[in-house]
Amino acid sequence: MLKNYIKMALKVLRRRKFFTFISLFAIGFTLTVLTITAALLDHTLAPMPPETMAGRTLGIYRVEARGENLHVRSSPGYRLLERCLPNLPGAEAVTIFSNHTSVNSYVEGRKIESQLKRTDGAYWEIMDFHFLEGHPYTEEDVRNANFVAVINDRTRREFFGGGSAAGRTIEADAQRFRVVGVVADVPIYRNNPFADIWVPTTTAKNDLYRSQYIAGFTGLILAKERAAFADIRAEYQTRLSQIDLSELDYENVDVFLSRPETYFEAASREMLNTSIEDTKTIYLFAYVAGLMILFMLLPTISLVNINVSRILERASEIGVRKAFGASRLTLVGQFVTENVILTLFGGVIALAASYVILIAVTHSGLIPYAEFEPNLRIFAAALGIALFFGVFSGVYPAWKMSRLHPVEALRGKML
Amino acid sequence: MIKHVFTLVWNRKRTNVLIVAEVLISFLVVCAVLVLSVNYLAYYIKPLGFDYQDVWSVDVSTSIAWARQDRATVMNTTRRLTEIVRNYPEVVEVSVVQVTPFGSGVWMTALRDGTIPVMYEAATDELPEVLNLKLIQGRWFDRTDDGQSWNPVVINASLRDELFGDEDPIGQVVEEASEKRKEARVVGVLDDFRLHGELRPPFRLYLGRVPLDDTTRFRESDLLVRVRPGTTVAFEERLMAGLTAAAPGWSFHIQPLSTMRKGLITETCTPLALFAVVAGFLMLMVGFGLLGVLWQNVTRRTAEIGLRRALGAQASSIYLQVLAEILVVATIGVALGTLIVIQFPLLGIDPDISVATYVIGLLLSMGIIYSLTAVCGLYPSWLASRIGPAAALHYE
Repeated sequence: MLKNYIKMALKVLRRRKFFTFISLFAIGFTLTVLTITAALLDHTLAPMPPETMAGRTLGIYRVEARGENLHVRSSPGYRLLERCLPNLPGAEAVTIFSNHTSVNSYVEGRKIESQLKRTDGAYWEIMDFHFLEGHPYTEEDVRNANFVAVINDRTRREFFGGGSAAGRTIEADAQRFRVVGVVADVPIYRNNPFADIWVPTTTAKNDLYRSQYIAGFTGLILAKERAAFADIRAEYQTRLSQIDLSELDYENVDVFLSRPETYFEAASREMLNTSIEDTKTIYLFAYVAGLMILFMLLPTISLVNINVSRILERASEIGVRKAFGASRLTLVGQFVTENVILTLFGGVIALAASYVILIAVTHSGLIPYAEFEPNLRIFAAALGIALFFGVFSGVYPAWKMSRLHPVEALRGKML
Repeated sequence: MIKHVFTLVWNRKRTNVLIVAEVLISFLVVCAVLVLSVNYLAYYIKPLGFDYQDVWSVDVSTSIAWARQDRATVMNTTRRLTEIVRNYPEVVEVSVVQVTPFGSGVWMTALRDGTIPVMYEAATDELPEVLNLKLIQGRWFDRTDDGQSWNPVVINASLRDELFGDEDPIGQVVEEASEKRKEARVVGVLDDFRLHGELRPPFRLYLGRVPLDDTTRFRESDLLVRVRPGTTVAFEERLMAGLTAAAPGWSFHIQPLSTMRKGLITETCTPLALFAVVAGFLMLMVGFGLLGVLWQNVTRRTAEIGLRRALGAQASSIYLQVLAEILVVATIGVALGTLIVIQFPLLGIDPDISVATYVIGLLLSMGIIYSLTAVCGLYPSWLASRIGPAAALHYE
């Protein structure tokens, strides 16, 4: 039965090459855009190295302070994290690191711009970096404020050409660091691991950051298991409520909010620009799904138009099948199957096209250190989108076709 | 004739409604791209009001939230830094600013009990030399403003028009004295100073003076340095070393304003370009779709067209009929789209986009949609005009 449908679909596709071309063009283009969108989301949100443990990680990315004439949304400060994060029940490890800042270095009359992050030693345990040479700095390096640095591949190239870097010295932000390790580049859209140069927090030029509750840092909590999230969140809120609001960086703060968020919760809050209180990941799903359907609307109408036109050619076939007792449901099933087969062809084209485009984007350097490698998840997403699109654009023409009256269809009188 | 075409379109409304929907949606997409582009173009052609060539921004970060700063120390260090920078022979002039041009920071405030929103900026006395700012009335801040009982303010022409109309603004009070602040009086008017770049809407600007000796009003600021043309990165390195030596606890980030401007333009235009490429492909798709549907329609109407030919209609009038039909269908889609688009200026959805921009965007998109439908209709209508009466009579 299905084999017959497939045979028939292929015959129909060969019959009118121009229409087949138009359909495949529309489907291929639409699915390409959607697959690329899916790939971008995947590369931003899915757990992949160095964030292999992202599924078990909660982050403190945002604080909000409110009071009379005051509304501050910012990253948390070091003091807050230092007070609230250590020894949380159910936590395996915690790390506190600064947001990345632009720093200048000058090498032989050349200027090198880098992003610098100041971190603790636990950072290297929670993040699973791929070390090209050397090793990370340790908690002891951080305690002793040793001027050591881990740099990425790009920084090694910029400073030392192709050669090895471990043991050599770099200057950044007018400070000198001894390189202990080199890691592979991490793309800029992975906010937690991204940087060009990592150095111990304690090497900061002054220790004023230690007294700040607001701005400049991020904290990550690696839970033993996801089930511990609830306990961690509850304990965090208890500790947060013990902070004396008059100690904060701003005067007259009435409400001080902060919350451990999963990576996905944080991303949806960022994308939708909502407050930390009413962030719901379902919003992000709804938003993305809404945009995708809106984008599919135009090609769908185009496809429906063409499909409806094509019914004409097959009127007599439908007439015969109806005359021999095929039910409407059978005919709808057949036509939707044919449409799905067509969209799957489009899907294959789209996958090839998006592969080429993603590789091109990776090599263009448009997004620093981007590495959009197609993976199984993206393939599955593309397949899912293609099937959805096939059904979405096939139902109306199929329903319309199945309504043809057999007698009129056989006579050749049209809709 | 036209009435007749409408009747024909109406008779085939079931088929046409889908084409209308297609035209409508593509019209809206094209219109969105064009209105945004025209809008940016309108911003871009307005004069920037300052000269960013050979100006470097020195981003100063003390790594302390400003609310907790020891303002006297910050102020004294900043003053020492400006003196050090000014002494380099490569430097023409240096100024302290609160908001760096082409930077990401924006400082908004409102005048007259919050009824007039303005962009705020504050700078020291040297800013006009650094950025080649031109005043059209009054003067810039100078030493005579020291120790006055009121705060001097420079505004731009659009804020002047808003506040004072045709009156002479010099010496007028813009903010009454309050517990926290002294009275503010206008001392000068700038034609414009679009510090957020060419691609941001023009705004009302309110400029205050940064007094390098008043701890009550000082807060963390950045430096703008005008260097002599041809100054290289070698000097940047020395400048950085000099700054770090003077303030070891602070961090500095030096960037030419021209680089920041380029970054800002790329940041704004990339999404729009991406949107335009997608819209272009959508148009291509719609074009192919229309061509297919029209072609099919013509083959389906062989009998009708043949009959007209048999009764003596010219080939050219058949050609015109098919073309007129598709244009009428397109017009319905465009009219619906226009109705939707004009809601935006009517409801004031985005007050930064002017009515003229909407009108230009609408006219351009109409042009594109009509051209697209006409081009897609040419081949099918030529096919239709070639149908001979004999073929039509043989049909069925």
